Amino acid sequence: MVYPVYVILLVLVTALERTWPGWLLVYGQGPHLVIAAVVAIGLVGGPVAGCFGGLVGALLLGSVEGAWLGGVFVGYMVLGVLVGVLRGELLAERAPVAALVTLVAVPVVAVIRLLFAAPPSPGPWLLETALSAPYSALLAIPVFGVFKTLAALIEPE
Amino acid sequence: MRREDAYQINWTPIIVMVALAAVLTFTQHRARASGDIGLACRGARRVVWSVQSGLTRGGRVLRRIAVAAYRGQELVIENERLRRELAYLESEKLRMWSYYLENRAMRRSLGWDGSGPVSFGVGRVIDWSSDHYRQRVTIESNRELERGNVVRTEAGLVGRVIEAQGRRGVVVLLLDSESAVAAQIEREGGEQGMIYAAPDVPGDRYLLQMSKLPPDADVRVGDWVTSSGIGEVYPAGIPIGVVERVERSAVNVTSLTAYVRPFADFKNLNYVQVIRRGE
Repeated sequence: MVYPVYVILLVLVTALERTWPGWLLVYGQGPHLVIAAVVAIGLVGGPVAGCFGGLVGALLLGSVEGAWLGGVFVGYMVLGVLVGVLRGELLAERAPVAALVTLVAVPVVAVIRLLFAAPPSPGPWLLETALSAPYSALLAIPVFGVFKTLAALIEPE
Repeated sequence: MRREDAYQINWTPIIVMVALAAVLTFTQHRARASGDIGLACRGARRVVWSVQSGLTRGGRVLRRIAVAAYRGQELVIENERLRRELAYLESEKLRMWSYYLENRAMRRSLGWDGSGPVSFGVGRVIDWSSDHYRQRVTIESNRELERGNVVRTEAGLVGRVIEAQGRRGVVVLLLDSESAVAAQIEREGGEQGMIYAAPDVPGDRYLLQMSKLPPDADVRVGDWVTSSGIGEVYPAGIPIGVVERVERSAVNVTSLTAYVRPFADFKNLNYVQVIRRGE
């Protein structure tokens, strides 16, 4: 079963996102690795796996952030299911696609979370989202590579 | 799942997971209403924080290796200089030891026991909150943390523990929009006010503001600000920062705000002291 591996990788990715070294921050902003991971799981495993990735990723990240879980669950699970459903139809199972989807997913998830818990001022929120989206997209390539390789090793087609 | 079976999505597990998410959300809301964070969040935090602790430790080792490789020659010279300084400090230590013995003998002769050294815990920052309005860190201490523990560095006040879980806990920093500290100007008859984060200062995330000052308050640039102890959230006398500029509101001339540069280095917050109530 590949699901326990997804959980372990999501724990690692969440810890890495929250412990991102200061010297790798871009204008004080780190990447959203959990979003990249949920996209990777959706592309590799389909809608059910994507939904599972979104559920676990949101629970881990929301708990560590001390955020209200509702908005995080909606954002991440919708993303996972959507990527999984569109896999093979619109989205190819390739690393550049994972990067492109992450580039779009970061602002979309940020908007969904904004609907549930609005920030006090829009300026910093916009700047953070604009900076973290391309940064996350860049790192989505290795994240996708890790998930795809491990999934192929555990459950060869 | 390719094109041919794209329409055969098994929605049952997805619906089950959505229901599970709803239950978890509901549980969290109920737990928060009673001042807790919920069992699922507690478990998730425990797991992620453990990994973060390992990553932080591993990251520091890697950084040291990288620095050693990059600055080899420079480090050899620095090492020689530090050895010389160490020899000097060793001799100073001996001198201090003789002073200590002399001091102890004098205290005994005066019949005064003196007060013991201040005890405090030491914490290592393992998680940083990076958004602009929630400035919080998670620390891992060498002893059990409690809600309300005061956190500071050698230089000044950092914040206080708002959530504790064993030796780990979340610290709300002075820079957080929800932080408020009763403070005073460190001068005889110094004015009292409240220290808040200064979110309206563009391009400077590390500035505090002192408001709720009397309209005729005597606050000058260069004044030191310390905690006043009012409200008993923070003990009195902990250094907070230095007044960088003072502004009077253009709309309300009785409103005075002093902008304070914190002593604690929030940019490089790695190790902190944790003080319990009464310590």
